[in-house]
Amino acid sequence: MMKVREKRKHTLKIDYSRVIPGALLDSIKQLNPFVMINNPIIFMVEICLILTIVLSINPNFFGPSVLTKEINITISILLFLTILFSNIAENIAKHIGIAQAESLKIVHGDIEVKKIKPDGMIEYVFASQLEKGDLIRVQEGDLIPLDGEVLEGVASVDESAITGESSPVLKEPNTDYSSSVTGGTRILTDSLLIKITSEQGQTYLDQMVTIVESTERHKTPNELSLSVLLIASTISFLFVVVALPFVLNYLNVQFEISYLIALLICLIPTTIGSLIVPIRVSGFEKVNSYNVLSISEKSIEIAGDIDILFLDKTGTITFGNRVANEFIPLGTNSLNDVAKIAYISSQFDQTPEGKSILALAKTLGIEFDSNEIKGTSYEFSAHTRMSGIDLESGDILRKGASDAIKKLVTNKNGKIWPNTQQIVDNIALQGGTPLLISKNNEVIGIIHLKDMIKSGMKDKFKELNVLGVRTVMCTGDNNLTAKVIAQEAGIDEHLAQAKPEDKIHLIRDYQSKGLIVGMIGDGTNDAPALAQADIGLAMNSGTIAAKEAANMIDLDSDPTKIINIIKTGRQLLVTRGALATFSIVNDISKYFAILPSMLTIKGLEALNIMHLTSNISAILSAMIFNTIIIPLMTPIALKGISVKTQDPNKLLTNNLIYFGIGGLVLPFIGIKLIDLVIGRFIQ
Amino acid sequence: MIELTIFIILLLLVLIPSSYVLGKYISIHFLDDPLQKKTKLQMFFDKVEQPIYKFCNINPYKQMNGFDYFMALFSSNILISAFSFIVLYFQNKLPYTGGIKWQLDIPLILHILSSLITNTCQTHHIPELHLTHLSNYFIMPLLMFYSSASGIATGIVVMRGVTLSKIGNAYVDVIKAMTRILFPLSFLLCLIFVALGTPNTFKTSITYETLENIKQTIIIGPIAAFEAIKLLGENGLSCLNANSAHPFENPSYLSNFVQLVSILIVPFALIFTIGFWLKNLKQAIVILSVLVIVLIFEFTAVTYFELKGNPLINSALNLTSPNWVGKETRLGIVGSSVFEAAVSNVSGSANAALESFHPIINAFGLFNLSNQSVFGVQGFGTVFTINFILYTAFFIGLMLGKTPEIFGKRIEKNEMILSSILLLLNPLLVLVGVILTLIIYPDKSNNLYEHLHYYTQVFYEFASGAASNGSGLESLNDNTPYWNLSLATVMFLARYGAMASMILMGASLALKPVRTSSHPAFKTDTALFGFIFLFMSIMSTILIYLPFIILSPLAEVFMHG
Repeated sequence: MMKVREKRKHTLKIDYSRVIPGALLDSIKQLNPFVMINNPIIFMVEICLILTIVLSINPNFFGPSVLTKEINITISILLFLTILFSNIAENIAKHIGIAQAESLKIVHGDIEVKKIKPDGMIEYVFASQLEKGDLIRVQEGDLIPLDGEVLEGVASVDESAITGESSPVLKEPNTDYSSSVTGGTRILTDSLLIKITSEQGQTYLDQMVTIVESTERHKTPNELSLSVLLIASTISFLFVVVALPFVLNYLNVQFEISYLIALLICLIPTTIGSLIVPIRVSGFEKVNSYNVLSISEKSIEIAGDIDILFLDKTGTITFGNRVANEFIPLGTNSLNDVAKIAYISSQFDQTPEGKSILALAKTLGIEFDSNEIKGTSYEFSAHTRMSGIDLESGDILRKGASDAIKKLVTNKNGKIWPNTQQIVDNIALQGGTPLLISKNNEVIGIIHLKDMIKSGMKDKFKELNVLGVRTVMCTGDNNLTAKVIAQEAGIDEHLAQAKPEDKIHLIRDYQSKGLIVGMIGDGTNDAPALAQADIGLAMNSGTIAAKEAANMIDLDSDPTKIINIIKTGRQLLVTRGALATFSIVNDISKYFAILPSMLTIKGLEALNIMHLTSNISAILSAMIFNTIIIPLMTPIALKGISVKTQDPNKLLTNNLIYFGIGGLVLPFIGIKLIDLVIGRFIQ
Repeated sequence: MIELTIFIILLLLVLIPSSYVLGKYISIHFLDDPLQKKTKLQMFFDKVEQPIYKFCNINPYKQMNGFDYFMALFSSNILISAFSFIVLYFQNKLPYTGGIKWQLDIPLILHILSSLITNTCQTHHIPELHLTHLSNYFIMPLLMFYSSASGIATGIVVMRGVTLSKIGNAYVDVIKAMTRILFPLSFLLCLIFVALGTPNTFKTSITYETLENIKQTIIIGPIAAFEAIKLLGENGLSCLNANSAHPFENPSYLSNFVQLVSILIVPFALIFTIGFWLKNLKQAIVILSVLVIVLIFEFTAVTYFELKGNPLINSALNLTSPNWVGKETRLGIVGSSVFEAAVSNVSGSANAALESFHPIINAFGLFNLSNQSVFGVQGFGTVFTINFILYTAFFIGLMLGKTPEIFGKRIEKNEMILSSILLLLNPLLVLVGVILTLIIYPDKSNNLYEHLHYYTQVFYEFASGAASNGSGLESLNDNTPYWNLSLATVMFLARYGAMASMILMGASLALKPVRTSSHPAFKTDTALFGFIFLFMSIMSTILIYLPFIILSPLAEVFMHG
């Protein structure tokens, strides 16, 4: 039997040797003013560059100037480097994205299926290469890649991903309902020959990869509002630089056009202006590297804002099928005996419940060779609601729903221990399902079946709480079961007996209160809720409908990844905010470096609080600082600032110290140091 | 300095409790919470306003959107100005002239109207010379009341937008601002001023014989009533040219104190109202503390430099005299200094000659006029405060990794655009005005100092016009068609540009739901928030105006060491 190889857990490998040259090349191409205009702040630098080039050729072009060609050329080079550094930062981010997309293609295509060629030979192909009309064979454990029609074979299929129902469905050819299979469901037993009836369903995944690949990026909402602020500050500095020469002229103070250009370039927020795209793209890439495909960067940023997270119970919080949790002996029977009988009666039971009974018994040290047990199996049917085995020794073993077994035993005038009903009720009260086990005409014990919470979920919910996210569990179960599971997993709220429209109503309700709602789901019945929520995260194991409704798909089908996504979204904003603050507070020191060189009025030398060597040295130092701070900050933008604490007051204090006060002080030190070095060479 | 400390303590002791009460009163009367039972006072005012609504055909229950709200305020402002224009133009043909027969020229009328309806009250005219008693005591107060009420309405609509989910009705807000705030308080103030010795009569002048047997005519009028709205409405237009330095307008040290209280009470109260509407008084206290600290700093700085006196004169004559030039001795150095620091923030009144203060004080003045958020002009100042809070919240939000929100309402692109317009409008108008003036009417002397001072005067004039403040460095010969028309334009554009973006911003915020999140959210009612808010507010002003302020009064300071 061919096992499906799922290599999705592989980390993405990025070929950096290809990233850097590509980024450099694109950075040069991007100097084209028509491309550059997309980034108004850097475009402004480019306009200034043209002016300084003119001044480099003829320093007196805009009027008499004391500056030499060399100084103007130096300023031009600094402006050119500012633009180039900004472009490189952006293009490195983009090229990492492209490399990632290539790597993702290999990863996601790795679901191999057995395609039947017209000559009857089996060919292993990637699911993404299947076309409508292709024949494929799927076997026990395989994922059915696309919607199709059963041509041959009988098999039970787990459709819980679509229906939320945990019991498997029988599929066979030539019937109305049960001959069609849905992509994303898993075959549990036997094998089927399927004809693909849907168009390439994975195209959605392909589409997402294309988005990852594409260099056409869209600004996110917070980025838009920050851009407005940055453009407004650029305009205000433009006012300053345009108005200042008129005032200086009126006061008969000599001034240099190059100095005005230097002042403008130093004041406009070039640092954050260059890094805003890298920050966005790197956040997007980080989420991709978790094997989560996102439709847009926007959703990552919104994910950071999630207040309420809706989770589907089945498949997300619990395994989705009931699992034996405990054997309870009745009367004089010993635990060992009950476990043994339970094991034997489940020997031929292929349902997940049956298997889980065997697994539980094995933990108690009970195991038989299948050849040891000789008898005829009694199959489960909806009518009898019990299954079991008639052993060759004559013993009749049964397990099943409590009323069915009770009826069976009562009819035989058998023995029912007095506390049976009490235990049965108790289990039901805890949200579990009791199965009675009978041997001949005695009910000897009870199996407690339980919806098992996936391991580690509890810790994850705790972590979500720390992040300030409330969790809501949706389930088709009754209120009692839902409550027990919710309590056990540490979920804040639960919505029991939820129909798809109930979920939507509740989500809308929260949204109308201004809250951001996230939803994790995998079934078709989750699709409307996934679409309504601000962030829908679908599991890759889920149905096509769910994936199409969602704006993110987790290729590993691990719902706890939402935590990483939320953290990434927040980190993206924190990085952007911190660098914007840094960039803007930098201006104060630059003013103090440049203004004394421009306002050459007797007495105003007192403004030169940094004691810079000369006017030219002061201007060049400020410009050099302004230029090199971009590549220095690029790694921070690409890596993101580590968010160590979730306490907002602490986080703010930290960021204020590092990026606020740091941004205030660092340029004073930096400019002074640069001045100490270059001041030796200039007058 | 001991006098200053006592002065400030007394001022705060009077202001804070009274503005707390007024703030609470405004919060009740401008909310009209249907869930709360109306107080007797509310029912009384409702009855008073009923006939007004009926007469003006206003449906007080109609909720407006942002654009309608602005258009209602704007068009009613224009309508009142048009009416006033007719009266002013024909003033010498209308009764109650008080012996004044001046035919006003159109540029001056436009300046007067633009200046009054925008609550700027910059005075290029001389009331005793140019205005008949009808114009001076009826048209001016009408415009002062209406512009002040429009300012309060603008403030209220933005405050409602930020704190509640309601916009309101422009006509109702303006009428309420008059009937419930301005009329009653003005009446009260008028009585206080009369008690303190300010004349209040319909007589236009009194004539008597001096000891030298010369007949002298002294102009009087309803000065106490005028004074009340001049101060309470942050107008600052005086009925007598000398403004609050005139002994009739401001007879004593005590009346000077009352004047200060009445200038500051409404802006103080509006901050308290924000706290009541947010149901978080601590928030209001944090904001108010920051503003009061700035104000006290300026009080102290101005007083310090004035007490030190003019360094040039003192060193030349070997004196240690305070700077008494242009000040009234009955008001004192402290009384004049504190008043000047307050009015450059809030209103255009003056009780001393601003021109003769230490130049560094003009630098403070220019900072205040550019910043506009330290209480500021009626209603608008509160919005500028909110605007800087919005910026503070924006940066804090970004640094916390959350979509920024102000009091639970998301700050998005729309709000950022409108608040940026608000921030850019002032420098645009001021700088364009200054540059044009320097090009068209440059100072003719060859002295750099004269150049600098003329530039300072021009800068101050435009800054005060754009900030709807109205104070000015006199000695500019500013009653010329150029000055009148250019400033009329600047005042008009600054006021209504700001009003439009403010109201639209408030309306846009009003439509947003308040997030009631269980997040361990960042607290905005803390000292840290107050500190960042202060820093934001100073930064945004300094970054734009630093070179221009350095070149004007600060250069004067540096030149003389």
